[in-house]
Amino acid sequence: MEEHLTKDQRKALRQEEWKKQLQKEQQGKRMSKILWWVGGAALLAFSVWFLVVVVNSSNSQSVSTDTSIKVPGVTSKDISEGPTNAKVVMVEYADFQCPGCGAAYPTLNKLESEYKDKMLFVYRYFPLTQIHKNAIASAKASYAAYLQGKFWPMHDQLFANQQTWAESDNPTTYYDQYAQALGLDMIKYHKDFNDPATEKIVKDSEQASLNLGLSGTPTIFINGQQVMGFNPLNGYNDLKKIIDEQLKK
Amino acid sequence: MSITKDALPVFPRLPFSAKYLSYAVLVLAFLGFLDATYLSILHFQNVIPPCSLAHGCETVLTSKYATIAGIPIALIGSAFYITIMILTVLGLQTKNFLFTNLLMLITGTGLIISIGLVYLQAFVLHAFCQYCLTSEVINFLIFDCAWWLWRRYYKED
Repeated sequence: MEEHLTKDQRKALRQEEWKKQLQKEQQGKRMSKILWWVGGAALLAFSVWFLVVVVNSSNSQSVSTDTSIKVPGVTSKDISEGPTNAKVVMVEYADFQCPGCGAAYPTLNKLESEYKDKMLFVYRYFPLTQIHKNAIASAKASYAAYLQGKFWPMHDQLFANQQTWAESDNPTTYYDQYAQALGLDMIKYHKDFNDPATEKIVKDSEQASLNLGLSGTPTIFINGQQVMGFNPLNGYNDLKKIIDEQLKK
Repeated sequence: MSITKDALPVFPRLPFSAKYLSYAVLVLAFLGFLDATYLSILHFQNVIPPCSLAHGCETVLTSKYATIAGIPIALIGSAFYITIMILTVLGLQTKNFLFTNLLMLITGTGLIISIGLVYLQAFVLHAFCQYCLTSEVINFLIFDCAWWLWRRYYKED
């Protein structure tokens, strides 16, 4: 058919075809540009959704108990609260500078007050000295308060104000404030705080925890069973369930 | 015209084309985005992990340096990586040197901030968080790619 066309006509036809092709190419380029943006946004949105799902599923993992670590029994040297002949004994290995322990403290406090007649609560020092520079000092402050019968109020003060003193280069100024507020004999408190025997007790407890094979805090044992996968912030129901089971036995 | 080119100092041959360098930046920024967004989600879901002697993530993430005026650094990181991705795609599509310049500026700033954050972990907190370190390594690599990209465009001009 093209054979019947004149030279000029053929030229015009070819030019039109080129134009069409150019337009097509430009359209394709525009489409690919748009695809980059739409595809990129979709990929990012999908990954955010995926991450939220991952965080949520690891958050709601179920709590279990493990007896592979044999936790030493309670002695008169232990810092404890509650009836000594209680059916349930909860032992917490904790570090006052650990944010996880700070987050768990309101939960544990609530359980302590609810089960104060049926449960013995034991606090053992496990200062994570490698990662927390004020772990030892805070434990010493609590022990000095313990010697004046004020361990638990001091324990509450230390956890409640953890953010204030955690990274401080001079945490004792804060501890002194808490001791003063609790009405402690400050001369005796300072003497006990600086007593090498106090530091020895804390460090011995650290070594005992490491020897036991504990790797972090808070580590909680209920009647010798280690609570695994416990979420410091919302583990209340999980712990309550284990305590109730033990009470029924 | 060739005189001015010859007068320029001779750069070593660049190993990759601008296109592949841009793709490398995109992949790295995407990985960084996943990392930073994961930490942001943890922050907003208020997940506080137990403290472990094996790693110091909780120490780093719950320290006062983890937020600036209430905004978690991880979230700033997510925005940082999105900005990088946008600039890179714009650079690829428009071939405008302006975007490469901006990329250079923002990745350079990111690198300096990363060095600061590594310093804080090493000398102030004495604890390292593997998620943060991953992000800092990514920033270093992105900066390298952006630098090569910048050089490439500079040479092609």
